[in-house]
Parts: sequence; C-alpha cells; structure tokens
Amino acid sequence: MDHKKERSERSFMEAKEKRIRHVICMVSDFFYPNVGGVEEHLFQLSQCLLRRGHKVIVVTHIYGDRRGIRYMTNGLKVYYLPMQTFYSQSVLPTFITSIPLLRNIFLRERVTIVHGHSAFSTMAHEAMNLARAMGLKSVFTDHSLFGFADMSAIVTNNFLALSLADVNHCICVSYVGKENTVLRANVDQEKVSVIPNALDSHIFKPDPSQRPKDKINVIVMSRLQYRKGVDLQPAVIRHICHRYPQVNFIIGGDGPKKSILEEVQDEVGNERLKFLGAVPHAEVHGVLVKGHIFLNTSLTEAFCIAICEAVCSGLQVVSTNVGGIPEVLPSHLILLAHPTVQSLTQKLELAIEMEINGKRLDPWVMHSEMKNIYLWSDVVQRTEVVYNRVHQEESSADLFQRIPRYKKCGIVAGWFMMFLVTLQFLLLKICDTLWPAKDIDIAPDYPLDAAKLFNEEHSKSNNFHSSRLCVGNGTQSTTSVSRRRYN
Amino acid sequence: MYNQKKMSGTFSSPVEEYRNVVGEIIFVDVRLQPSLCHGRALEVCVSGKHIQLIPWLGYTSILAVIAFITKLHTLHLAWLVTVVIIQLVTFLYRIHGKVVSETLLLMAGTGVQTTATFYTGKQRMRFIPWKNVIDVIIAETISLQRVLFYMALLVRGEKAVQNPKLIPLFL
Repeated sequence: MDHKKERSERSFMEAKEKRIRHVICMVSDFFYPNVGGVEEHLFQLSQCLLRRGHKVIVVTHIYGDRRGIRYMTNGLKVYYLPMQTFYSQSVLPTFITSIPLLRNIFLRERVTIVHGHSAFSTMAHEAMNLARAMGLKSVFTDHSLFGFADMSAIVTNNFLALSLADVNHCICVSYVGKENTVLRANVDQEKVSVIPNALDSHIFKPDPSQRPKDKINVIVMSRLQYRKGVDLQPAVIRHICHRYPQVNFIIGGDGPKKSILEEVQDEVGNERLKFLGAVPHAEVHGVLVKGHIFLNTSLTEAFCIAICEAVCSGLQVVSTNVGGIPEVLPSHLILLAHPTVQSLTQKLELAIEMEINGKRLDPWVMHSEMKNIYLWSDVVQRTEVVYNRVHQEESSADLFQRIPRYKKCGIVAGWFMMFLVTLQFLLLKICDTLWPAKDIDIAPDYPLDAAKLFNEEHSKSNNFHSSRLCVGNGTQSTTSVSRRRYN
Repeated sequence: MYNQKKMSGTFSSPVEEYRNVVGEIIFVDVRLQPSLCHGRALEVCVSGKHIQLIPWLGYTSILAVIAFITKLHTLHLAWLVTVVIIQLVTFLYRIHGKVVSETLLLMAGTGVQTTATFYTGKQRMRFIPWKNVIDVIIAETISLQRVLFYMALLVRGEKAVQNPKLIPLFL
C-alpha cells in the first residue's frame, strides 16, 4: 500500500512539473448566442485555457441562422452542428446518428479531452460517451442541483447515472453540488472535484455616484421562473413598499412568471416597481450600481454568481440560504434568510435599516474583500490539474474494459447501456471502414505561440511533451502515452 | 468530389498525385507556372482517374447472360421493362454530371476562368473579371457527416450593393 501511495505521489509531482498541452473539446447544447450562466462559464473558461496555451474548440448545435464553423475571440473555433433540438434547446439523444460527424470532428482536430457541460445538455452526454468509445478522456461539469423526490427527478437521475458511469472525472461548482452529484448519480467521490465559478472583478466595481441619495433601490436580477422563487417576491414587495416609502424595486430579467409581478406593479405604481426586461450580461453592471441592496429569492441554486457580482459592485445582499449559497460568501457580506416570505421580509428590513442608519459596510471595502476570492486564473489552474490527472489515466476503447463499468447501473439500465456500447463499437468499426482515419484531413491549429509558451517554461529539461499524438479512433490501440511507467 | 488533397505522391513528376476525401487518386497538373510568365498567369488542372468502361461492360454482359439462362425474360413483362428502365436511368444519372477534370486559369489583370469537362465531352466555362475577384479563401463546411475543406473565390456581385458571393472551386 505504501509503495503505491509513494509512487502515485511522485507521479503527481512529476506531472506538476511537466506542462502538457491538451486539445480540449467543450461540448454543450448551450452556447452563444444563447445567454446564461453555463454559456458564460464555457466561454470564459475556454478563453482562459487558450491563454494558457491549450487548444480549445467548442461544439454545439445550430442556433437559427448560425450554422457551420465560426471563430470567436482569440481563435476559439465553434462548430454549430446540424442536430435537431427537441426540448428547451437540447438535441434529441440518439446515440447512433451523431457518431460519424462527431468522430470526424474529434479526429480532424486531434482532440484528447472532451469536456461536457450541464446535465440538461444531451449533446454533452452523447459526445462524452462517444469519446470514451474512441479512447479519449472525458470530463463533466455539473452546474445545477436536482431533487430526488418527484418522478422527473428520478428519471433524470437514472439517465445521469448511466452517463456518468463511464466518465473520467466530474467537476461540480460547490460542495453541496458535489454531494448532490455523488448521491444522485452514484459516482465515486474521488472522481468528483469542486471548482467554483468565477467573475471578472475588473468590470464589477462599485460606483456610489450612480445611486440616488434620498431613495433606496432594491435590485432583483434573475430569470422570472418558478425555481428562482418569483412566487415569494410579490408579498415581500408589497410589504416593504407599504412600510418604507423611500424604497424602490428594480427588476431585471424576463420569464414566464412576469405576470405575477406585473400585478404588483399595478398596485404600487410605476415608480416604485420598475421592469427592465431581459438585461444582456454586458449591461448588468450598469444596473447593479444603481442599487443599494440585491435580493435573491432562488429556491434552488448550486452556486449563485449573481450575488458575488452584487457584492463586488458594493451592494448589500439578502438571499435565501438554499443549495450552495451559504458556501459562497462570508457571513458578514450576506444576509441569509429561509425561503419564506416572513424570513425574507425580516432580513430585507434589516438591510434597509442598515442603509438608513449608515451602518453598512463601505462598498469599496466590500469590493476589495471580494475581488480576490473568485478569480478565473484560479479556476483555470484547478481545471488544468484535473486535465493533467485525467490525461494520465488508463483509457482504452476495448469493450472488455468498458462494459464492466456499467454493471453498477442496475439490471435493466445496465444491460441496456452495455448493448448500446456494443452497438457504438460496431458502428465505429463500420465508420472506420467507410471513412478511414487516414483520409481525414487534420485541421490546422489556430496560430498561437503555443510551443513558445510551453518551451520557455521548460527549456532546459526534456520534459516537454505534446499530447497531440495520442488520439486513437477506437479501433486501433492508443499509443503508449497513456501507459507511462514511473520508476 | 475532388475536395481535398492528401499527399501520397512525390514532387519529382510534373503531374502530382493526391488522394481526395473518398480515398481515390486524383492528379493535379500545373500547366502554366507563374515563374515562367513574369508572375502574370497560372493554370492548374485537377483530374480524376481515367474512367474505364470495359469492366462495366463486362459485368453487364455477365448479368445479361445469367438473366437469359434463368429465363428471366419469360417473367412478367412489365416488371422486366421497369427494371431495365431503372437501370438505364441510374446509368444516365451517374454519367450526366460526372466531372472528369477541372481547369483554373488565372490571368493577372484580366480575370479568372474555370472550365469543367464532363464525361460526355461537354465543357462548361465560367469567367470572372479581375475587378470582381476579392480573394481566395479556404473555408470549412459540414456536409453529410463530414467536415470538409473547400476552396472558394470571393466575388463581388454585379450590383454594387450585393454581398460578396462565394464561388467554390474544384467541386
């Protein structure tokens, strides 16, 4: 036991010294031009990884007119694939029809790691499964929490367990998220890491001059749907508007529950409750600086980046204490309430009193505390550690090794997945005969001085290593890169 | 489809051999080098393997003999006629649009001319005046479960306002 531990520690240290260039394929149904948390995270993470010298491509499905191959900032290549969406921007998960096209993309870009995002994204699950069938590594990032009790949750959890049975590593955005994933998807806890989201603190700076001196603005910024707790808001708004005549509410965002809030607006009047509609992410800061207090009423949240943005901009935060929210901020920067109307009203009144008395923290003090907690450079370093670790794992496309991993999924689902995996294997063989890998042109990398980035760190040692060569297409044996021996 | 080239020949011969996306061999022949004409002209010809008729005739005659021996022609006449017609139609369809070779002639200052030669001997020419040509680009496209590179000419439209069109070369 001791030998093994020593050896793995030594190999970890060795890996820390070598910097390996990965070719990462981010797959998700949700990407630009859709806006949201997952899309922002994907884009920012890809940009930071490109800055570190890795190669990143993004695969998603067609959005309206946007189809084919596009390039974004810094040479981020985005594939908009012709796959049919069937429900809320997710594609229909047939594991069979997407095999030739995805295989072609993985081979021509020489992808080594496939990183899927968001449990709702069926394309991510398909791509990760296919990557394992081809002998590549796969990583999954989960951005949300799920329940356990109702029927839809049970079905979703089962599918997730099937998909995550054969994933190299899993990343969650909070410790609560990790617990949730480990329990509902039956994943080994060593396979799950926690890497929080981050925000750009240069953009979110306080600007007290924008706030009105005589009034107090309370800002609510979220999609107006059930799980964001919109049902709690009308009672809170009515109570506060009645009690404090100098408090106004500004609501940013749109959604199916807007009508509830419009009723309240009819009662209290236009000046006291303003709607801004859907606010693009670039303008969020402009709206935040106009307020004194930020209100978040979510009923479920894995990691709320909105409250971090609010604190960074110098607002007081009142939030429900669900999910991962208590882990996000230190207790003196946030007022936590239970997800009920009384508790929220009480905490909001407390915040308003602190505003009136002037006893609140100075916005610049809040900003300086907050700005170094969640940084993208931190997130990227930790993600790189995950990639390096995954890179060293054994990964063979052999059916004999893949099938036993599905045994723990249960009788019906496990056997179904084994059947599916065998079918995938056969289809890959057929694809190799019809469209052999040697006929596929390798796409040129976007010209980055990547070699320079990697060479200048290890110019003397001979540890420089490029992982470009270790792509297998599922039927040939993967090269010996993944089976290094550590003496 | 002569879409993309993969090196499998050597540079020593003036006609270079490449493989296209399907794996078949194609020949690229550079007839006029810019170095020989003061950098004013370039002609490139891309052609496929010579299409052989003999094996096809051989297979057809063997099948005809088998059909005769098994007395296929005594079966229902309408079916026989439809089968023959279907065969003829597919034959014509495959022959009709089959491009044997394509030539690209560039003359600086004058224009660009593309010539496509079909199997039936027909030739189709297209000329683009020099002032309409903006650029040559290599783009990627997703087609039929594959991602392919193709070369295209960026061309200004006849009317000044129209968006530049892409004209794919060597399809």
